[in-house]
Formats: sequence, C-alpha cells, structure tokens
Amino acid sequence: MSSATDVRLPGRHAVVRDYLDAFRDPHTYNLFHNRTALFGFVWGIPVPVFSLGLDLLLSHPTSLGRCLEEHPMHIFFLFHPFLFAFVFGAFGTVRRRMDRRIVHLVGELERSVAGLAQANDRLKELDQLKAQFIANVTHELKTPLVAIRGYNESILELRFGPLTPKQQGGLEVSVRNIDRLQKLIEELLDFERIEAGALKLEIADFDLIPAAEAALDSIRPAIESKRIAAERRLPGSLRVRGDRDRIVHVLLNLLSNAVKFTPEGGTLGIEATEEGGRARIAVWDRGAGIPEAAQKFLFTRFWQADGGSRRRHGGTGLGLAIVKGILDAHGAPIRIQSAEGAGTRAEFELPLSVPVEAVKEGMV
Amino acid sequence: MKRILLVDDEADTLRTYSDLLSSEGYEVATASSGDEATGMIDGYRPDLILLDVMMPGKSGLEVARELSGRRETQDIPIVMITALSSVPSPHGNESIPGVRRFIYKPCRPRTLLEGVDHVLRYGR
Repeated sequence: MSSATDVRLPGRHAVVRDYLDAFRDPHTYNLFHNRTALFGFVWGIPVPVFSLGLDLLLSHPTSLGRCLEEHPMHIFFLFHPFLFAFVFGAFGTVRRRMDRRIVHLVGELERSVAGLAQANDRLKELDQLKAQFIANVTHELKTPLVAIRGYNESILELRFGPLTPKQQGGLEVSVRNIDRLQKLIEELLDFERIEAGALKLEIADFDLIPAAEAALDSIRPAIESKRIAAERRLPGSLRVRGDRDRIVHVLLNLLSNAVKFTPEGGTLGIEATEEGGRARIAVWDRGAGIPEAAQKFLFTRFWQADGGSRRRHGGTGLGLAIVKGILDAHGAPIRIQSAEGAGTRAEFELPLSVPVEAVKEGMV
Repeated sequence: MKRILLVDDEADTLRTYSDLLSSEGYEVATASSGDEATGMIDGYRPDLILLDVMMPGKSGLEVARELSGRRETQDIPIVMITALSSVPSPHGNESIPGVRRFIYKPCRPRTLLEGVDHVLRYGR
C-alpha cells in the first residue's frame, strides 16, 4: 500500500512531465495498472487516474496523443471514471424512474384495494338485503297460506259440518296442492340459506334407522300409487352424528328422485351399512339413469336431466342442490353412480356416534 | 271453558284460527296488535296467549317480554305462532320468559290444537 502511495504522489508530477517514460518504466507501469486500476474499480471513484487523465488532457495534449497512439486501449483506462459516472448516472436515472413507477403502482394498488374493500362491503350489504328480502318474501308467501290451509283442512276434517263426497274429494285435491306449494316455498328458503352459507346444523347423535323409515313413510303414497317395490336393507339400529331433520330431508329428496325416475311397477331401495367406523347410506333405483354427459350438471340448481322431463316428473330442480348443500355442511360428500338404462345410486357417509357423547347422554 | 287470547296483525289469520279454536270449544278473543293485546289482557284474563312474532309496532317477542315482566301476567303461558322459519332472538339463544312453545304457520289444524292443548294441560 505504502509503495503505491510513494509512487503515485511523486509520479503524478513526474508522469505529467514525462508521461511515456513513466509508462515505459515497468515498475511504475505495473503499479499504475495493477494498483490504481484496481482501486479505481474497487472504489468506483478512481481519483488518481482521474486527475492523471485530466492533467494530461490540459497540459500535455500532444504527449497524451502520442501515448494513445502507442496504447490506444489507454483511452478506456484514462477515461473510465467518466464511464463509471455515466453508467452510475444512467443506473441512478433508471432507478429513479423505477422508483417513481413503483410509487405510482403502489398508489394504484392502494386505490384498487380500497375500491375492492368498498365493493366487498357493498356486496355484503347486498347479501344481507337479499337474505332479508327472501325472509320477507317467504313470510309474505306463507301468510295467505295460513288462512287457505287452515280453512281447507278444518273443513276437510269436518270441523264445520258434514261434506258431500264430492266436496270432500275436491278439498283433498286442494289440500294436497297447498302442501305442494308450501313445500316449494320451504325448499326455496332452504336453498337460499344453503347458498348464503347460513345453513345452521343442529348436530347430535341420532338413530339413522327411524329417520330413514320416516323419510320412507313420507313418500309411501307415491310408492304405492306407482306400485313400486321398495327394498329396505337396514340394520335394527345405527347411531350416527348429524342434523337429524336435515338428513331426513336429504333422504326424502333422494327417495323422491328415485320414485320419480322409477317406472311403474319398478324397484328402488334404501340401504345403510356400517363400514370402517362410518355409516354408509345409499338410495338406488333401476330407472332410466342419467346420461354421462349430463352427470356433471346434477347439482346445478334448477337443472333437470331432460329439459322436457320437467313436465313428466315435476319438481323444481332444487332437490339435489339442497341435498348437496346439506351434506357438504356435514362434511359428507355425496357420490352418484349412474348408467343410462341401468339406474342410479346415490351414496353418502356419516360419522358414527361419538362414544364420549353417548356416555354423556346416557348419564343425563 | 278455557279462554284464549289470539294476537296477530293479519285479520284472516285471526279469523281462521279463532274459528278453528272455537270449533274445539275454546273461548277466543282477538287482538290485532301488541298494544291492543297488552291493553285488554287485564280485563280478559286468558288462560293462554297465542302470539304472532312479526307484527308492525310492538313485536310478539316484545309483548312476551313485557307480559312476563308484570306480576299479574307473568304466569299466563304464551305460545308463539310465526310464519318465520326460525325466530331471530335478539339475545342469542336465551329463551324468552313465558314462551312455552313455538308453532310455525301455516300448520295443520291438528298441530295448533294439540300444541294449545298440551300447553294448557302440562304447561309446556
């Protein structure tokens, strides 16, 4: 280090006066090249080289000219501070521009985040409004049904006097359609709740078998009128964990689908088995089955396999969407296997009763 | 003869259910608002109150709370009748004092009559 300083400081004047000599002296030349250039590169501001170049330029332009004639590459050597300055300057400019761009982008990002938050709030508000609206509409739809249903059924139950057979028959049809309308309203409400993720389950231990029987009972009139054979493969008791009423709803929807798509005199079935700590429940029919291309739309609301089948089979197309919603809320995905012409089988699993809970229940 | 006070803002609902209850031998008085109900309760002294939830003005839940807060009326059993599918309780799951059961409209005549009969007999 000290030798470099020794050489450089006196050398500055010496070199200026006799530049080529200095360069021809291998010792100075090497030092100059190796050390100064090294410092220059390392520090980025090669002061000695810079002043050397400047001095030469100002006081000995001819000497410099001769030197450069002999060593043209020295031009880079002498002027590399400018190169540095230029490169760093350019770098700085680019960086400043990038900074400005980043600031701009960050601002834009913040604005769009704020916009999104606002939109989100608005959506939440709309969602609440929608839920409120549906609740109100359902209330309004049900209110006239109170009087319609109340009087029709009271009269049908002969509370207000005797009826002729014709009056009675007419009222029976009337009541059946009131049931249908009310069920439809309930179904729409259920569906809305599922869509809004507001379905609240009341999870408890219950025996699946009476629940399955209850669902089967509800569709018995339809089964009997189509002379369908219902195969039951159910154990005496199977305690599971879930929301009993919702599971009955699921079974009812699956069974009414099975009835709907089973031809007169056909067969459908309901099964429950215990497998690996879980209860597996299946509802099947040997009806028309679902074309493969149509299977992916099965759970789409309002969708029905055969657009024209709506007339033949009735229904809203909400049944399976509700089934899926309820089972999803239970964390129990539904599996549907179907082959055209061979029938359809819908299957899901529920956890068995938790032993600890069973003990607690037993103690109460 | 058991006396029932029926409270609902829908005139047709009042008529339907009072006809139904009368046909079963109950004596029925009707009120079409919460204020009307609380105003006539001391004069009528019903054995049971059938109370709608969603009414303009004072809601059924407010009426129930008010009645249960007064010594003269706190022992009258209340059955809420509602067309809502679930009743939003302003105090979470805390049950409303005096309310013995909920009946969801529209219901079968039998559901209403059995509910009323059960509450009158067993108090719940």
